[in-house]
Amino acid sequence: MKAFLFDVNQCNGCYCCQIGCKDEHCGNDWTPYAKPQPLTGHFWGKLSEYVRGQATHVKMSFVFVPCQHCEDAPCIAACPVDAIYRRPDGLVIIDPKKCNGCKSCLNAQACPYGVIYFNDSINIAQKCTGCAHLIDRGEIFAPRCADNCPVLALKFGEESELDLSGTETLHPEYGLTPRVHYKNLPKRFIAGTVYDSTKNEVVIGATCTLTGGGGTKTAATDHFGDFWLDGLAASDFSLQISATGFATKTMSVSTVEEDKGLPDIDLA
Amino acid sequence: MLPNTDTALFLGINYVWMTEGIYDEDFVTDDKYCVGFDKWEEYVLGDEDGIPKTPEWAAERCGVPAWTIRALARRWASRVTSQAGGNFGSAYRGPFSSEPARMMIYSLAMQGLGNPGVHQLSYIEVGSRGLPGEQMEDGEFFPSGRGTSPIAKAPQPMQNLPKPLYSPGILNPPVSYYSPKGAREAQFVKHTYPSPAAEGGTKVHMIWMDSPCNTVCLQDGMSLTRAFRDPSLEFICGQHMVMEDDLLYCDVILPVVRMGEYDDVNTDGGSGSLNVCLFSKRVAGPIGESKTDFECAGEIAKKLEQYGGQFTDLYKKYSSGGLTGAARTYEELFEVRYDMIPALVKDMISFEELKEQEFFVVPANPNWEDAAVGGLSQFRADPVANPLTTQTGMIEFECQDLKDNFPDDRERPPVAHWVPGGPGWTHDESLWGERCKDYPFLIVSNHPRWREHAQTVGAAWMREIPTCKVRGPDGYMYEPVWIHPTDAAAKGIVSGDIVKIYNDRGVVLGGAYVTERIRPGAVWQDHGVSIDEIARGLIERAGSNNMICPTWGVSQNCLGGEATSGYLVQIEKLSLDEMEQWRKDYPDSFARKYDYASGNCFDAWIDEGGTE
Repeated sequence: MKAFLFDVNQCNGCYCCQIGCKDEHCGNDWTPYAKPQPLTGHFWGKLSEYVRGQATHVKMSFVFVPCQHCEDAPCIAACPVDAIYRRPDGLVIIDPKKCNGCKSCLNAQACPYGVIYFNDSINIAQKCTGCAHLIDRGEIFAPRCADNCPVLALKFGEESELDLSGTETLHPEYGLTPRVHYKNLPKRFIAGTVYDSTKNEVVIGATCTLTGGGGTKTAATDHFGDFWLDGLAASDFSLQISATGFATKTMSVSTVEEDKGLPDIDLA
Repeated sequence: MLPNTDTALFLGINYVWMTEGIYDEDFVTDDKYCVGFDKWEEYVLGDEDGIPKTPEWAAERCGVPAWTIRALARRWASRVTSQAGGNFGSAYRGPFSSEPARMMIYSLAMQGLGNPGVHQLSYIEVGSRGLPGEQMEDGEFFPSGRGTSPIAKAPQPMQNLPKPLYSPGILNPPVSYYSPKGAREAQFVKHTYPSPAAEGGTKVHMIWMDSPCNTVCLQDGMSLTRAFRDPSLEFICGQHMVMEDDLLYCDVILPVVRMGEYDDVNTDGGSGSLNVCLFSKRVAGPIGESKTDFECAGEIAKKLEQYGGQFTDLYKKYSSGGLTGAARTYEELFEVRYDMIPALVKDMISFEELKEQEFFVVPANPNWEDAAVGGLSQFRADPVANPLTTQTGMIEFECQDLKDNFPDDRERPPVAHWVPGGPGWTHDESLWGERCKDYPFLIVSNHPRWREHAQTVGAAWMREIPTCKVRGPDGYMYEPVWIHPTDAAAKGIVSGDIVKIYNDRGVVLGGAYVTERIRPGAVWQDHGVSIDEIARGLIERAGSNNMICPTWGVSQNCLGGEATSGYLVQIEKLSLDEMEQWRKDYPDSFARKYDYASGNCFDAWIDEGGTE
């Protein structure tokens, strides 16, 4: 079975995947797998960006979302004219000749990942084909998006040959067995700078203990007085900061809405 | 930090080093390496002006907390540290940017500049620091891009009007200036444009330009649009491959082929990655009457020959590639250019092979480990044998040339200072002057993330990226203006709104991108988008903010550098009423053909027959 592997920590947001997809599919007819993608407006391989935290503790995360090529793809059953099928290698295809433009696949039941687009000019539904036309040719063993990735954040291959240790899938609760695997999907973080206002110095090596979300996490402040508590659940936490010579400080921090880059914390 | 307050940060850091004794005192006080450190120490510690440049003093100015400045100073001093930057932001291209540039060097010197790992480098425009070893894989195999240009350099003209002075030079001559470009001594020669008539000087009557993007890439584009229309300018000819920018002010336009529409030879050694020789083959075109730049100028040369005299044999002189011999065609010049590639590379690939193969990655010098060490290592090892290009050959905390030539220059004093400017100075572009009362935001304007100046401004797939363009409620694709959520809330701005950034030089529009990626008090809009004027010289829609950057360069006696980032603007949400008024006042500007995917297109500027 073919599968994608995307590592969020490797991606630098260059968008070569998204643009490569367009270069491969806009103006090129890859029937029987796909008719040309419209010049703009479709994102068969979409890179989404997330600004996390608050100044000055901010991180960018980029997540690549193509068709998930689900093993239990509900779009297949949703299509009344049997235009959508799965190839023996697992790639899910909308047959551009069979599609009659009825839009039955363009809803959250048929595709909860929202990766099917409609081409008004030729009246068919379209999406990522895994560049089946390239795979079939046998010279290039990756879809264009993965071939374009200069930092190897996006990989493609036989699922059994990919290193899937520690990976997740998007929305496992859908229960659709997607073939796109992710490393380091963003969770929530709490970060801050700890300082001593009596000396206007940062506090190095302060112990920051976070309680909540079903556990405890600890981090020490670094040379800039910074601590980063990452990989958190969306939850309410109690943050305790202690350092030799200072009274321990405790505060409530919530990541329910978003990541938290806290205002600088005065321990004095 | 607040844009263009880098000097405050450097001063705070240097204060910590001096007061805590965490710097290379032996080096900076060694009269083989450095001069004037005592003067710098006097200024930093406050002996000169009674103001110690403490981290608290710095924090008030640069917006970085004093505790963070202390932490940075100590961390820097405790580790082997180099400075690296893209173009160093507003510190490199802001008002009075000579000062942060000098303080970068002071800071490196205080931590042992030239020791292993203590250097300065640029990620882009590789080689721009002019230091040995700066380019990757330097050595005998390194091909030079410059080396493959076949056109003979024009002789130095007897009078110059430098690019940053186009508008003051045309509108308000004469102008005098000192240019910090070229050899050290040349920087202290006063130039005046125009030269005296007795010496053959004259006002500019005609401009002939290629790469016509001066409004977009240089100082105060709004005033430049007035200069281009000044009656003293009788004629402007432009040659370019895209209908944009300054071409809109030309009387005659020579259409130029785009890359891929003609064969070309090139090398790439300046990108900092692989060194490549290229033979780029024509894959389409040429379209219409378009020709290469070389041929455009050549056709003019041929036409001029009919006037005889100095124009006799002009084409031959022009096309012989600076060599003696016969006139050459564009294709014949390829071999001349190939000949300019270093011999060792030519031994590896013949011109015929290069044409066939189309590119050749030049291998690294196998003896690279034996090559001279880079940066200022050689200076460090033997300062007498390897002097710097300063007057003393040493690192000058107190610049001897400035001391000799401009001892009282408050904008670029002999020892670098915190120079906020204000009324009566060349620039009043900081939060410590008067104009900030009307224009309280400092704008960061960098080379664009998704294009190079105006190049590829119409690339549809780039424009779909969220930080490339913001689609306004009117469907127009605006250049993003980054603003912090607290500032945006105070101004009633939300992401996707059309905003205007403006000052007394004009108005530029943008699309709001409300984000934690920028600090309060600053806004960010990349520069270099092709202009789309609503009202000529007043209101620009596409977000070409060089239209409203300062008129003069770095400082009074330091012109050559640009001041195109870190200047003052105000930002407001554009009201629908105001836009509606503009639509009534300037209907032609809103009637131009606009393509959602690519922006303004050729047809936007053509009255008749555009579609053909």
